[in-house]
Amino acid sequence: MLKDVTLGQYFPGQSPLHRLDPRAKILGTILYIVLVFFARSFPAYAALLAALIVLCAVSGISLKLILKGLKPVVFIAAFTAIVNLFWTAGEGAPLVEFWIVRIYPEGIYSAIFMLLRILSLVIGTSVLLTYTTTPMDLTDALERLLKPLKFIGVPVHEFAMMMTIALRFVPTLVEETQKIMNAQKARGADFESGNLIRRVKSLIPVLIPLFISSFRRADDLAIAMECRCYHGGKGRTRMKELHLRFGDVLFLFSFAAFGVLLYFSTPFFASMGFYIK
Amino acid sequence: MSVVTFEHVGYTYSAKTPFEHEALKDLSFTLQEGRVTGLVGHTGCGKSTVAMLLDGLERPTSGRILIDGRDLWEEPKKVREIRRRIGLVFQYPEYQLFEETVEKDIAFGPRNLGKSEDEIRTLVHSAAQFVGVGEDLLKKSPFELSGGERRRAAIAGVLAMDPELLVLDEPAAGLDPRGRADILGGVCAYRREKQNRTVLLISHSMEDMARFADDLIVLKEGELLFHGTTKEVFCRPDLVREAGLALPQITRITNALCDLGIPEGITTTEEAAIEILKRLDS
Repeated sequence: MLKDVTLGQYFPGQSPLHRLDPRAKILGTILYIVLVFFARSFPAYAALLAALIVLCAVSGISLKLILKGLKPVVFIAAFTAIVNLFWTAGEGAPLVEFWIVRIYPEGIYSAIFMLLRILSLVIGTSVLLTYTTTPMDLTDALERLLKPLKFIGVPVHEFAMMMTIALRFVPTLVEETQKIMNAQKARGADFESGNLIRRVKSLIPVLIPLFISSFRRADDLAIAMECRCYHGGKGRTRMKELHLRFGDVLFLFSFAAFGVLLYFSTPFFASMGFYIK
Repeated sequence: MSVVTFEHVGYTYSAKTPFEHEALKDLSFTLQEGRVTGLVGHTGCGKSTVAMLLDGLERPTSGRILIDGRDLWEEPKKVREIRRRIGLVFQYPEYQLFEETVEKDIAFGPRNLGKSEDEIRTLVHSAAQFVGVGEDLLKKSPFELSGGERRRAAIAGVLAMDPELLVLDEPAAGLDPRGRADILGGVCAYRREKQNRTVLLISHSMEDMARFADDLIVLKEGELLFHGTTKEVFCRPDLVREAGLALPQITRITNALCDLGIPEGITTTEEAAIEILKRLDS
């Protein structure tokens, strides 16, 4: 039951996308998100989807895994599409008119758009970032990108370290939970039957030991870090320096160029009647 | 209860993923009623997997587990019923304690089994006695106890369920010699008191096995290497070495003495002392 968490998971690989500098990937992802919201014409959207398909193909991550990662957003996507379908009023005559339901052609368009927008948003960010970047690289890159904030007194290194530790302990906690659940099951605990209140109550014997062991682990970790003379970010050097290579710069520039093109093309396509609200 | 039989049991972790790992291969054995059987093997040989399968927490990928001749997974909905008759003590069980007092925590198991309050009180007190958890400790919070005391309280929590088959996974791991003897001695006292209780003791300490186990099952990389009485296994140093284990020093000495014509089957220091004194006298 706890083994099926794919959201935010890293899948090891050797693709060009895996080897890309994580900073370039973070900037690329931000750009991508902006583009998803700026693309408002059919041709622009088609271009964006084409770019997404190329990214997926390059990443070497199987389609099955990508689709599996969509599971958590299926409900939201479907809900948004349905709301758009029924509640978008159009100018012409409705296609279907039944009781209080009126479906306009504009409704169908915007439902499809919303669906595509949400799905491409999730697929794009996960393929470009979380599936192909190790959590450690991710926090390293974030630390570097947020470095300027240090001058206004934000403890960037400390935040990055907290994030690294949190990510590092997710699998450990999952394993620990499974272990404690098994131990309580062996003592006759029942997590599967009864109403909601009983089920929530049955989790107490799992949550208390879990909290206690987490606190103990945090204490141990703090002591271990202090024993190795960790004292925060000041004067700290890194073992693995991030270096922007030619490929990373090329990726960023081509992606940015693609975005600029997409943005300025919208009015042009709009004048041809492809515009979507 | 209870004859427990493994029939060609295999178990694979994370099957069909890149993390696939075959933990048990075609494992068959029978646990004799009323005996303490030791399960020994090198780290990662599948000992703990056997414990999980026995308690129905995982389902074997192949083969069957028979309890009194009935397949444990015949009706998956009824596994919980069978689990009531089996007590499983996990490795480092002290991390499962959660109640306000030790007494309440020990009572968690029997309460889940639906026993009456009177029965629960008797069960809790007798279980606490076996592993040496005194009356004063019962009223304390489990988080105030020392590591060894917490371990004993956790084991008492399983003993209080009065299981017909008791499975202990490394119950003495990480304890000092005194603590080890207390816990294992307590388990033995429990078994003596309640007759016909079957015990499966998982450990890689051959010293403990020599003192507490009647039979031994030796595992190597998920496969059965040998199943026989403890004495038989101790007379086969080659086997023990193959499983990646070390015989106690005393056994190695007596095995060397064996070669010189001194009778076989000496496993503990006490037995060796008696035997050597006998020789000296004559």
